[in-house]
Amino acid sequence: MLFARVWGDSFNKRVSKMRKQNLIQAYQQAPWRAQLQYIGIFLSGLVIIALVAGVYLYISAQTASAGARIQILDENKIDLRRRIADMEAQLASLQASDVMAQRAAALGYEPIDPQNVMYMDMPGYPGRQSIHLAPEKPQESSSFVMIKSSYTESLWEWFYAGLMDINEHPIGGIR
Amino acid sequence: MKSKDFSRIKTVGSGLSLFSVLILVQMVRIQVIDSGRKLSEEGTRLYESQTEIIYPERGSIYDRYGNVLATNREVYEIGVNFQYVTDPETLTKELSSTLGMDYNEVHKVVSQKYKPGETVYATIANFVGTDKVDELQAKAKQYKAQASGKRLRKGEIAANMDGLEFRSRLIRSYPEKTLAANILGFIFYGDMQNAQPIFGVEQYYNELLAGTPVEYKYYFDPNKASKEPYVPPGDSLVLTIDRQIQIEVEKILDDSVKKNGAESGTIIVLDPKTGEILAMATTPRLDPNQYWTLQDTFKDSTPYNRAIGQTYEPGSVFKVVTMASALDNGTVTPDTEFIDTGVFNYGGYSIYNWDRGAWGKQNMMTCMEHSLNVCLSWISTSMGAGPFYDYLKAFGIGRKSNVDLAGETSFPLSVPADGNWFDINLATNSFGQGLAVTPLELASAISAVANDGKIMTPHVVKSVISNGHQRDITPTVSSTPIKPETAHTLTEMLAQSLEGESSDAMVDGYRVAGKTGTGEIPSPEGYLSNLTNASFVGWGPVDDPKFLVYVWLEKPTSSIWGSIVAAPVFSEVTAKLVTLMNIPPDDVRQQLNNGN
Repeated sequence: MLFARVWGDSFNKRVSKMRKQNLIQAYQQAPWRAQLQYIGIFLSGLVIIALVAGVYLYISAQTASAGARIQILDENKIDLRRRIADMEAQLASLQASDVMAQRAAALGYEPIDPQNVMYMDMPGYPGRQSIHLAPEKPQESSSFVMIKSSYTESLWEWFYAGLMDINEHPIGGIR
Repeated sequence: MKSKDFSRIKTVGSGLSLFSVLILVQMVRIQVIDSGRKLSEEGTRLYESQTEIIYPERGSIYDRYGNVLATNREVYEIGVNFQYVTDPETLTKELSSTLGMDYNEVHKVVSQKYKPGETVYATIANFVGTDKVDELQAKAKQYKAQASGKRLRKGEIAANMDGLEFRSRLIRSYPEKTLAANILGFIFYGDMQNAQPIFGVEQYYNELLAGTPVEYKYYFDPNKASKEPYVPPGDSLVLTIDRQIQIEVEKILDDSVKKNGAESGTIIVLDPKTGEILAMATTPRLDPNQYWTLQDTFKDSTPYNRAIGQTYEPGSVFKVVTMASALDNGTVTPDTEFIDTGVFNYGGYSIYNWDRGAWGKQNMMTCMEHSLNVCLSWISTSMGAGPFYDYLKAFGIGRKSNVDLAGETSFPLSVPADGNWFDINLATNSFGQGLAVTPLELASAISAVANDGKIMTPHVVKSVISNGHQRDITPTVSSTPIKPETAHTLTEMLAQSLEGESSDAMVDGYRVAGKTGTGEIPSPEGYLSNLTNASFVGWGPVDDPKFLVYVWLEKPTSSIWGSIVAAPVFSEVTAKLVTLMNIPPDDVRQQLNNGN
């Protein structure tokens, strides 16, 4: 009797286990489906990484391009300044006293004879005044970074700045 | 077969994994070990950024009406970067023909082999103008164009000028060449980087003209590209010099030196009311664009600007200072009588007149008119050493005039307390002997007589243009040695004395005051008899002085007398001045004034 009960319990457990196994097998996906899911998740990750990398690459390329252009423009500016100075020197040479005297003589002018000078009183005319040559006001002399922060900040910094902005100016909030 | 494939995959996988691990280990090692850190620092130093000092463009110098006297022009250093030279023959040929250099000399430099860290770059020529550089650039472009359309055999190299490099910079340019060179000074370029101002305004105002260099950290990383800081140019200067007056004065001076066979000459024109120097001409002069001729032009110890750099015994022009002191002090009045016996004994010495004659009864005006040494010696000794030397000091004798020019000198005035002063000095100093002054020092002293007793500090800079603002220099009173009445009285006396002797210094239509001077030249053997310094100082118009002219001709050979040599020069200068300064003749001026 006791044997029969023990056997019966063992049998019942086996049957119950088998039922459980069948139940699991019934709801488990096919292995190829699970593999596809893993591949999909992996590819999604890869795509996200590629996208982030692409954005970084794009921004870096733009930054590098802008920076290189700034450097080239700075060099051009120096060259131009030198050219301007050189042209001013050339102009000064063309306006030198001996050159001007020759040009005046060629145009028929000659030094005045003091005997022929006629002096007149011109009310309000203060006489020949010395020159006022002050050039334009210079720009500020400090150096500063020209590239916008959006070109150099990381995604996290961008995200954080955006978050802070939302905190400071909540959508629909009263300003 | 299957397990064999699997084994291969495992082997390749293990290899790649090991390689990855090795990379990681190496990365960590570079980060951690000292040499790795050093390498990283060196890399940062060399390739992250470079610190450059940006030198501002040197300020320009203008005359009082804005005519450029000194500015900057672009020049180039032409060099060769050996790393890129592939055709040294073509490069040598073009460089030597364009720059006019010896082919072998250039080839020796150009054909050197590139050795990193050792033979990288060599300079071929310095201070090359833009025209030559443009020519070379055009040739290089032409070679490039020819090479691009040419099919080359293996190992063949197309003719080219690769490796040619230009480095530009600005250097000083003086468009007026020798004009006012003694006032301006020049810039000496030891090499392309180091410029040294020498003499004149260039040296005196170097800090203002040169500006402040700015240090700039230049990042190679474009992400860190920053705008190059704006480096304001050095301050520009507007001088008191009038270009046209300077031209005329230099012309007259050069002619006078030549005509009179003088060793050198100096003419100063200043406005006694402001101390502004309108012209300052001296001989010799060099073209500051070619400063390397300095040694040829200024032999031995010839000063660059005699007006401020050479002292001399002025002779009788100094009598103006003595008479001004005595009149102001009350020792004499214009009517004080003096009996000239032709000799004045003092301190164990006898003093004679210029002609060794006795002129009899004189007053102070005729003493000046006849330039009597005996009379002036009597005046200074009557005045006494104390007051006399106090006046001389107040006139600035023995001191620099403090003009804003580099290279000013002075000769100390001996006074009774000094070991080298003797009693006779009191007498001889009265007529400009036994003391030495620079032309500007005496011109400045005498300007007090033309400016109501006040000496204005002489200066050549009228205003400074700095940071977009033009700041005028305010004329300052250096001292007031005499009263206005004394100045007016003496001016009138000197105008009358010129009229009395029908001096060559007089100018038609204009009343001027002035005094001649013939200074003997001291030597170790005593005063030289046949060589003198001929001078003249004068100002006008007498009723409202607008200019003071000082003339000095050194050792003239046509005549030893200032009245014959220097007075006509004054007249000539004044005739030009009145036209250039728009000063109407006295009668016209009075009519115009009355009309107002």
